[in-house]
Amino acid sequence: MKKLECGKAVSGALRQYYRDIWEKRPLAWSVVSSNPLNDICNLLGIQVAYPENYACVCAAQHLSEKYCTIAESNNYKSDLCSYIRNNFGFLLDQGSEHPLGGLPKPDVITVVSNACLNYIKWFDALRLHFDVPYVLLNTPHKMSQDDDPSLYVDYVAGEIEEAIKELEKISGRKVTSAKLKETAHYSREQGKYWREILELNKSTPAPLNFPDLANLIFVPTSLSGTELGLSLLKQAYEEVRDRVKNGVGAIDDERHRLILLNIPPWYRLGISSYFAEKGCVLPFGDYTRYVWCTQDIDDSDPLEHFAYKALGMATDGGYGSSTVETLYGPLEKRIEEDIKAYNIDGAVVQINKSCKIMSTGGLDIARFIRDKMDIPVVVLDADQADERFYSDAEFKQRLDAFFDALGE
Amino acid sequence: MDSLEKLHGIISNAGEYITGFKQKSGKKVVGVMHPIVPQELIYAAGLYPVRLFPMKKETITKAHESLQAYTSSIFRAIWDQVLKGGFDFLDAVVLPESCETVTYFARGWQYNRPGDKVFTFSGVRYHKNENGEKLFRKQSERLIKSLEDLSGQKVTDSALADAIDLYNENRRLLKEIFAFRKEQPPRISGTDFFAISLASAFLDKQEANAVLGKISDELRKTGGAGDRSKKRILLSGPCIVDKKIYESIESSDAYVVADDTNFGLRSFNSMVDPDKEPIAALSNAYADVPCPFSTSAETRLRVLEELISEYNVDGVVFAIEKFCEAETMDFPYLEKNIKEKLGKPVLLLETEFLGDLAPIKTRIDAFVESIQ
Ligand code: SF4
Ligand code: SF4
Repeated sequence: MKKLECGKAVSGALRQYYRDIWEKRPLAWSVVSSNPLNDICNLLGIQVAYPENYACVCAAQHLSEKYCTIAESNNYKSDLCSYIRNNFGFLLDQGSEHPLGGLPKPDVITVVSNACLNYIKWFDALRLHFDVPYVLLNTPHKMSQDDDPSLYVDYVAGEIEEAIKELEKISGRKVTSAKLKETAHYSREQGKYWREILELNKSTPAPLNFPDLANLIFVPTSLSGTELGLSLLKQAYEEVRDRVKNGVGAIDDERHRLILLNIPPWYRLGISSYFAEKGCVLPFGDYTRYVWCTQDIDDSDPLEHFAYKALGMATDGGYGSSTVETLYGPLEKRIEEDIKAYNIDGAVVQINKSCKIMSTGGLDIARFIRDKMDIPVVVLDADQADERFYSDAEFKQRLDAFFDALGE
Repeated sequence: MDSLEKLHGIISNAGEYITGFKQKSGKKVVGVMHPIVPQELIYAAGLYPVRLFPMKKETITKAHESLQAYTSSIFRAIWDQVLKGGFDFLDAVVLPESCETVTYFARGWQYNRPGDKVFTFSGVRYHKNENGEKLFRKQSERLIKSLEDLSGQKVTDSALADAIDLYNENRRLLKEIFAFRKEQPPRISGTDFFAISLASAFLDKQEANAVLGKISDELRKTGGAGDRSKKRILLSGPCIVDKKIYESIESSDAYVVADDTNFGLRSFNSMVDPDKEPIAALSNAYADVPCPFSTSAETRLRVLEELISEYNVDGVVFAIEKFCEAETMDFPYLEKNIKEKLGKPVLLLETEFLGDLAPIKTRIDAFVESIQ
């Protein structure tokens, strides 16, 4: 698999980011979903650490067994999301060495409720654990087709205003309207480039594979609303555009293009190589296309921009985010359009014990793709960050049968 | 007590009662998930609200085609019975943003059964400030519109005031009966109280209040009879719909003297202020319902602390449904504080719809025995 040149700059930014969260204060712990509090923290000079990302790091380093076991023996039961168990396992195991030196203690906990409902409970538990201020941005979930974001935008903008006041107190700085406008502008532009990159991935061969996109998503999430984030995404966009121009694909010998639904097992990222060996590329999935930067949001009124960003629901008949709408959001129209536009010939639908929000609807979407789109579908059961029940042999056996169905 | 026996019968045949009342009253039936939906709005629209729970003890066989298995079996059982025609008496349902399974599958219900009327009520968890009250109002107005379309009847101010009074009376009666368990021995068993509270969740409120009034009067007259040395247990959990959990505890050397569950305390602890503007009053009251999906573990601890002290509780049993994540998420904090701060022992049971209670019974016996 070919690595992006700009990957070096992204890794550099990632290293700097980790230095900053250790060296600078104040520090927030927050969630990575489409979360405007992160943009605002970046604006106010509040560093932000992400327990979810850290759980991925732990899982990739095969520490989930250790951390999940510790969490479970402290009553964080096994049916909770494995990010939460990795996080509490790490917190409760303070005597040992941790990957990247661990996560420094927060000065504030911030959370937005637009992905799973557990976000609030998890971060509330962190607040109680650290006994630090808590900034909660409550956003309604889209539960029916007529839940239009315009119904909620005033409420969410009001909540953001409250949150800003809290965050200003913590940082000792003020959010000026010029700064807020600039941040909203970067946020909007980052979204545009992310979507452009995904547009380019409709080309055959696909210039990017799932791991490239998963690495790159660090930018519009952790560096959201920053100039640096925008310039990194521009670089990535230009490079991907050149790849398309020159017919360069992410994998050698692309023969099949697959959609991947759900969060992959981070402890088996090598599984993409297994797909690549069979000539399969994964140009998009719900994780990369339906969660962040899903639509263009006007930034002339920055508060409104951030409110729509937090809501994540489709505006102007466009497309919103699957985490806030669940997989029933893209079902059926969007999935059908995307499968055609990306020239997809097979679907990998994962049911993930940890992430109920990304798994609910998985069976209906699998049936739709199989029956209405008439392409092979494999439904796999794997947890994103709890390695203990994963069997490589079983996973590969299911995949091999699927590869047979795909044909040469 | 005759009324009590009747209620035990009714809760095992809820569907039959609901169909009967539907025919008798000519009202349309609206199924409601969870105690955070303001049922007063439904009642005031001339409709008959009933709380949803698996009304038959049937193995789940169909739900898995659309609802993945890592979800609460209580809701999967409801969905299974919907698919198999067990809830055909429903004319609409209201699904609130609440626990994970219900919130995420609301769209799944609409997708799989496009002919069903599914009204949703989102964003009203954690709506504890003025801005939240505005949202509650907006969502209530939307719900009222759907309800009026369904019944063909307007929600007038006076109908809403009457509904608030009727529901407050129901809450008052339930609180009164609940409190008969303060004494040792309690005047009413936990198992009986469970039957009362579950029946109240689907009985027409006028009929419910008449029965509850009778039960309360009788209890007032009779002193508690039973063993004074039995242990006093607080039972906490989400949608506990099987009285066997209560029976398992009470057939050990213990009474269930208080219950903090979705069909217990959480369904009636928040009174609606009748002197306030109705929607503001409803907003205030429903913001205080101590369900884990709409409030912090810290608030829940306060509720439990009060119960433990007022009801002289010896030990706390948490019976948590598998994959009921909000409830599961609060448990470590609650357990730690109840044990360390209040010095009370805690037992955690993991439950599933129609799950085998034999191993649970053994653990309950050992727990009750271990209480000093
Ligand atoms: S349940 Fe899903 S959305 Fe929630 S923290 Fe876990 S992975 Fe993220
Ligand atoms: S038991 Fe928990 S998850 Fe299941 S329906 Fe009740 S609140 Fe929801």
